[in-house]
Amino acid sequence: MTEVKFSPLAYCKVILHAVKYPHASVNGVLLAPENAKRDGTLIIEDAVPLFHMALTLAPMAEVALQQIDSYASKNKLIIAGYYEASEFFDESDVRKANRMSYKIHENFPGSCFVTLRNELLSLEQRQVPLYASTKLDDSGCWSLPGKKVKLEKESVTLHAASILINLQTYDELVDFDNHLDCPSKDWTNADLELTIQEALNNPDDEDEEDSDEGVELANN
Amino acid sequence: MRNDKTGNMAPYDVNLTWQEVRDIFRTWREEKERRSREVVDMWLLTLKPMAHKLGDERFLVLEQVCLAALDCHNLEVADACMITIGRAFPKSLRAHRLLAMRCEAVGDKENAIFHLEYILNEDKTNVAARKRLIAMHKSVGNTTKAISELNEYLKSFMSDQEAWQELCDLYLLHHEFSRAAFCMEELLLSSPHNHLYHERFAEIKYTQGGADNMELAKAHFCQAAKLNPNNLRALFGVLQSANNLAQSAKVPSKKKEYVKLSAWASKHIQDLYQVAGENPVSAIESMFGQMQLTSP
Repeated sequence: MTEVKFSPLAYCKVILHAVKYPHASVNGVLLAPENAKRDGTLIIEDAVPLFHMALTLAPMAEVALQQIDSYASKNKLIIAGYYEASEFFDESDVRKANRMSYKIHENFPGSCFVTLRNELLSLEQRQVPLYASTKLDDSGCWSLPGKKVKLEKESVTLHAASILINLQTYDELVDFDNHLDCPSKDWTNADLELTIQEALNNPDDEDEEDSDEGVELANN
Repeated sequence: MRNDKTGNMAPYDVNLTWQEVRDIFRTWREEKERRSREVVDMWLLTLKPMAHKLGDERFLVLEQVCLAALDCHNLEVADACMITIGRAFPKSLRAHRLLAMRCEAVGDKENAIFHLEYILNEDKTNVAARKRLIAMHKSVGNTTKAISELNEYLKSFMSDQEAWQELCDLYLLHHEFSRAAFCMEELLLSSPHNHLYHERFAEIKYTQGGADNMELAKAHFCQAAKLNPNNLRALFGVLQSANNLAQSAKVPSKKKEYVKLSAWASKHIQDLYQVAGENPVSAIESMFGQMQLTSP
């Protein structure tokens, strides 16, 4: 199985999406550079959060994929993966993986299926809770649970993600459902990207400026 | 920092008056919004010191805050609310339900069930307790059991819209689209003017695929768009289903009809985006999508 490596931006977006809707399953697509190869390490540059309601329905997923496809080609990226974070902490029922993940795999056979392990997700990020599968088994289903995802600049990114969660920055994240409810919301999350970059570049400044307020609210 | 960047005011802006917070809470109660973190923050920051001024609403607000606190695992706040409610209504089964939910919140399944069964013994028709028992199956990931219990429940309480919606969601989790569609049909029977029900039903039919389902999907997307012309999902649904039908249409006149419908939807989507100040992205440009998830 090929290795999957996330950029700090992609990682933060996925985690913020999951934390924004703790009571719901969330999913989204992952983008890689257009010259991504089928073998070797798959680098995930960016993530597009999609839905937090009725993840298995097709029509809006198709609309989203069309728009993302267009956005990706303009930015020299391809849709190279699918992520999902389940609402359930324990899952005793085995369920079929989302059709979108197989569709993406058809278009790019090196794509990955990433799941978030809820028991490894915490407000203070200490380890990467994402697992990726890049292969289908004999019956054509994703070979799970897959391998732990690698993270670029791991300790800096984990620290930045913790700060962002503490500051409740996930409120700023826009997924495709939010966009469909209110078209002026930008599903590419251009503004959020700046915030994430700030947290990555200046971890200590973030602590001094705003975290007092965030921590106070969280502790009450 | 957050307020400046997005231009949105976070709901728990410290400048909100306690009356404004009280009104926001009322709206969220009526619309059954799950905004637990915000409720707890706004309660602690603004409303709690003025709670004595709430009058009749006081216990409704306390219940709302208690449930929100349990959702956020803030047991201190939840317990404080429960004690106040318990003192005022010592024999209330409604208050007792909160105790059961507190057990759930700390993962104490046995005691949660004990309390819920106590409530059901006292009052066999207590819907809240029965639904809580079903919810507990879901919370441990046993969705199959939740589905069968919910089906049992609906045999007696078939007008419970919330239950039909929940059952629909559970079936969707399992890709059981025809059963999910049946749930939406029940909801449509009771609320034929609800654009969201038409839209959800249409999405399920679209996902099932096939010519007949696509026709039904198109019809219900159109109905949803008619009931609410600002429903972007419905408009996209009309566009997608009309495109699908146009592609597989054998009769030229029918094909023409679908293309016309598709163009109509496309125009309205572009209008909505223009009002929002956004450029319509190329989904509109690509009339015939390449990324179809359903079988034609």
